[in-house]
Amino acid sequence: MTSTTPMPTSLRTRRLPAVRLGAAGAVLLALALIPVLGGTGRGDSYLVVYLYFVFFWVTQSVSWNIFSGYAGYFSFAQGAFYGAGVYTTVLLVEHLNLSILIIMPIGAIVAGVTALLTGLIVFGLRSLSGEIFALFTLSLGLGFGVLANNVDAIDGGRGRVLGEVDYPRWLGSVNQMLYVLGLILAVTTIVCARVIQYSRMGYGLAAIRDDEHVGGTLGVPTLRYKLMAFAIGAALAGASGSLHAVLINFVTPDAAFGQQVPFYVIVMSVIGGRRHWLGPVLGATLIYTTNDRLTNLGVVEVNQLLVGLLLIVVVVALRAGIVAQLFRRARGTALVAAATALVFGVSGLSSDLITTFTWGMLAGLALLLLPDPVYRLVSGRRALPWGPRTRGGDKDKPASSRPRPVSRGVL
Amino acid sequence: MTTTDVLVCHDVRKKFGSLAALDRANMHLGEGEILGLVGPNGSGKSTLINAVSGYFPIDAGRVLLDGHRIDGLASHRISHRGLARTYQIPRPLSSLTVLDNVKVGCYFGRRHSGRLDLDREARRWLAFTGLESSADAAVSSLTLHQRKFLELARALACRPRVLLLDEVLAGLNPVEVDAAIEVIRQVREAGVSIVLVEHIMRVVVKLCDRVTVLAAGCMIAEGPPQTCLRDQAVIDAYLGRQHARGS
Repeated sequence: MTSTTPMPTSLRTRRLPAVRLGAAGAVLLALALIPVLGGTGRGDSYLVVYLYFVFFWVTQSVSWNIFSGYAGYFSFAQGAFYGAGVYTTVLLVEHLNLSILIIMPIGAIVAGVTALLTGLIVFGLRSLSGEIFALFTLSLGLGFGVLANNVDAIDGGRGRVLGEVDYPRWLGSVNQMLYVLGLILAVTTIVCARVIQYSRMGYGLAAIRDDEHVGGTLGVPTLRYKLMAFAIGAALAGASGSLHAVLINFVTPDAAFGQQVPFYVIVMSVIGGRRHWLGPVLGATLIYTTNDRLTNLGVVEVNQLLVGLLLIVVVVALRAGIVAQLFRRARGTALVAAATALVFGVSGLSSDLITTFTWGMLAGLALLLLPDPVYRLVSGRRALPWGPRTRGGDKDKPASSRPRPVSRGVL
Repeated sequence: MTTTDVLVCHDVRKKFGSLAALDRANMHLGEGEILGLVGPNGSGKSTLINAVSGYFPIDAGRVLLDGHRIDGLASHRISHRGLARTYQIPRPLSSLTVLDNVKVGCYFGRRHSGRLDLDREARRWLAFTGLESSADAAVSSLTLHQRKFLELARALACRPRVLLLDEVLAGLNPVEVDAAIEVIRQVREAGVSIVLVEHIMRVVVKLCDRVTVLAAGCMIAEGPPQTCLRDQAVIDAYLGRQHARGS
């Protein structure tokens, strides 16, 4: 980071190293090829549906995180934005029979405008606190639910069946279409989140999170940034809801505007880490995948128990979420996860790809949860903690005088 | 009030409930000047700083920066016009590194034309305040002394024309104070006009071209530090009438 090249940092930090860009491209290509390769009669395989759901939850939690994570305002309105997208699809299919490719941008606009109006009201309140914001946004979802339940033009409380939804035929079967659009949406959301994080706006949102007054004094246009981030996140969530309506097909107000989406989105982002775009991606993948495996085992009841347990463990052990710890132990985690996945895959302990992936992920998580002294022992970074220390400049100094590094990449 | 005044407070009033923290407070700051803002505890010095920087709206009066009214503007707009401040109790952005704290100031702050090398700019201000070795450290690892200088570096990174320093020197030892005085002089050399809230009279006398004395939210004296601090009204305000007579 201390290179002396005269290139402005803004450019330097934003530019992806070729290696990482290549890796991201390879992952994307592999994901894009899955439904095509499976297209020979297996296009509707479980893997495609599972991955669609991962994309859905990644989109939802990353979009939540753009405002609530970066700027630190916990929003419970995710259900309202998601539901707005869902009902946009329901109404537009019923009345106009539009293509999903047209409906998704409209769903994004509906949710984005909703967020903008909500923001104008709530951020205009003098002495707005995080608690009031949380309650206000919670009531937004509840209010929309009541509205949909009682207005016949929207739903009227009986629920709606969507039926066939128009989409370009070259996208293949319904599930392949969902997969492709879900992937595109997830990637778009992640790119948005990453661009914002490393931009001027990312610094502004971080200042708002830490001390909004100070941010204002330093020249951060706090109101504008809050509205922008809130609306961008909501628009992405709305587009994702529009697409998801095609999958659920039978839509009810209670499900669309319920607390499931806001609840999971918050848990996923908190577990993953809220300061970095990668946090909610990891959190969503981890939570959805374990949920999916437990459901497959037929122990659905354990799901929420486990999610709660995971939340407690991660919050206590890794306060900044998985992602911060992952940056510190990237190589070890990758190694352990890959090795575990390999063992499970080869030995036949797990029958399919998703289970293998789950075990790898859980092993990686276990490594991240190891306390520092144990990790050092395991990784061989240092000799026994109580043993003689190696020669080293900064180890001789008392801990307090050493600058504590903040993990790189985490704003 | 001359035409070269960069900052003018005219009859500023601020009430908290029934208490008038500022009651017709007046102050003006000339271009390139260091103005000492002094007064006993509770006289409204910090309130005036907060009012000028847009921390809260004022109830009456006018604040002008370069001849344009800034009272009633949002604090970020005031910052864009070239006013920066430090906080008496340092308020670093705690989840950011020391360098990133300063970078926020570089990214925003006074409007500027052209592209800035933010990284170099931020490091320059860290070097100026002697914090370059802590650039990548978390702010929680800084001492109070370092945090005060981080406040200063961050405010300077905003490229201000007017800088409000709210007790940046409090809590420093005499050697550090002398170093800080030198730093503040250099800031003025760079063309920044400074309002300095300070309790240490030695610093005020050494550093300030002029002082404004506040008592009970009102300006009671104004002039060169040497003469002004000997003013009977000022002594009364600081020490109490009884005590002043006795001595």
